[in-house]
Amino acid sequence: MRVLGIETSCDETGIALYDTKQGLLAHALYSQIKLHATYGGVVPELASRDHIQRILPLIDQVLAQAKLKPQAIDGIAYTAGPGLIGALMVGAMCARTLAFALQVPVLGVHHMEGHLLAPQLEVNPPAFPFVALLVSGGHTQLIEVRGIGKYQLLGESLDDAAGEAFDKTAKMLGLGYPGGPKIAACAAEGNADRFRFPRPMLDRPGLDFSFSGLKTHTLTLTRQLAAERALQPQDIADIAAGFQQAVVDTLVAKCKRALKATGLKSLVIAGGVSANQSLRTRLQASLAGMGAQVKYARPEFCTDNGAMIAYAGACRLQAGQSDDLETPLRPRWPLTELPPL
Amino acid sequence: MKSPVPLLAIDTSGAACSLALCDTQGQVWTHHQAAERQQAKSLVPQIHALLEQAHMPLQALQGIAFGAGPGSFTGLRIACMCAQSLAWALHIPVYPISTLEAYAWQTYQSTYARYLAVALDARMGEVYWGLYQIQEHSLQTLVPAQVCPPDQVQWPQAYQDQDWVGVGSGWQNAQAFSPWIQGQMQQLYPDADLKAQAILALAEQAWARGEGMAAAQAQPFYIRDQVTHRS
Repeated sequence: MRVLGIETSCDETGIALYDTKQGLLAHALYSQIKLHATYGGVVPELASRDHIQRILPLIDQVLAQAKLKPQAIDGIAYTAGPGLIGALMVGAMCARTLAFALQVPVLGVHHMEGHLLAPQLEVNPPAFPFVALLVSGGHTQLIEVRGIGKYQLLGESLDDAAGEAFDKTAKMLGLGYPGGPKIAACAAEGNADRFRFPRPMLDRPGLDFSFSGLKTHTLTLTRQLAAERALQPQDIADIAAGFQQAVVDTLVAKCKRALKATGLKSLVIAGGVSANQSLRTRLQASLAGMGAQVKYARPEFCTDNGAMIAYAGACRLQAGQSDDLETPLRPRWPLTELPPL
Repeated sequence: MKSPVPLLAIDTSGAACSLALCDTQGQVWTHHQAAERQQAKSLVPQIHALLEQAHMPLQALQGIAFGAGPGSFTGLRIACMCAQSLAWALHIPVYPISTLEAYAWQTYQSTYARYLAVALDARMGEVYWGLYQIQEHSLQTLVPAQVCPPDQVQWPQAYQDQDWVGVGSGWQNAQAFSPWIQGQMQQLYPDADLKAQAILALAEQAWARGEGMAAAQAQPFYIRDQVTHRS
């Protein structure tokens, strides 16, 4: 079964074709990062305006890459949530209309299930069951994954998502958008031990996170330094390094706790922040010590992309699941509400 | 007698889901339903139902028209994405039609008024507006669509002292326009509701002029481009 995947939940237009026998046939992405960089964050109306200009040319591009005609599409998967409602609507209208015109089934896919399953596109995919750390601009969640659709929430952020904290801190430090790669690049030049940063919620049991206090701590520290003298590039690099290390320490500690609590030995990290090299390196080292391993997608499939939606959709469409054309979008959609395969 | 052009017209620029279909025999089938915040859900099923009602296969269509704006940004994108996708799948052209022109044409059809001042509520204390004239059964644009507060509408002197008819939700607060403009109006239709038949009629004219475009090129006419402030 060949499935066209359409991702438009935020600021990337991602299109892909996945074949359940041959694997990923083609994928293409248009990132709106430059469009939103001027504003220091995603402007929803501008995101929607851009998606509608990109979708069909990207579909043409992936069909050409795969040397296929539209009639070769057997099913269509699109991101139905969570995400920006206006942006989701553009992808949904395209998917539903194409499904109607091509007479193929259509399915709204959960964006985070797409992220969670993205490592399955790799040569050596993780086997079920595993613990997943979903860590992006909108989510920080630990989930026990027993199979597709068999998800149990172990813990989540009580306030800002980790990616959101990266974005806000980068903006505060004048590093620009998107915050994750900007902070990581700046932190590479910094001394993480120069300033003391808290490790939120490590002193209490449980698997929930909190990152807003860390962001506030960074703001206070930056203001205190700036009151004494003008911030130097080295100051900013040291703050970025300290902040990143605090986030990474917190994520690593909670992942280890989750593995111990579930008795599982396999961790999957997914979502935009899973591309962070410091997080990957620290997890590999820490988990090796407890006989566990960590797996993740290639960097281009850590951020939003069409391939993960095509894959997640293909798994469910092939199992016979599909939506009618009136299925509502779900801008807020708990992952645990998904039906199991 | 000219042969009919099988076209589908879609409008979701306002609170309705409005469709008009010209079948292969030239018969026009319509569907118009209030659908505020439901358009993304109901549009495709309603197109399906209208085609079934007309006993017409989707593949018989030769063009897709849509109300391109101005109007609700989300509504414009719903119709645009639907039109783009249908046209892409069927390899047929798209006809983006100005909603202001469609209001003008619809009002001309029902009142024979020849001078039409269309104003739509653009929120934020502004109106989308444009001036249109009918000449030899054809719509001419005198002032193209723009957006501004009603009291700042610039009315070219050349177009005064005609029998102007005001159409559209922007006239619900007619007192917000300058007294001079209010004095130009012979009649107001502030509660007019745009029907897709007007989009269809203008699309047939655009088709005759060969103005169709490739699916991906068809985009909404937002008119208001300032949607945020730089930080």
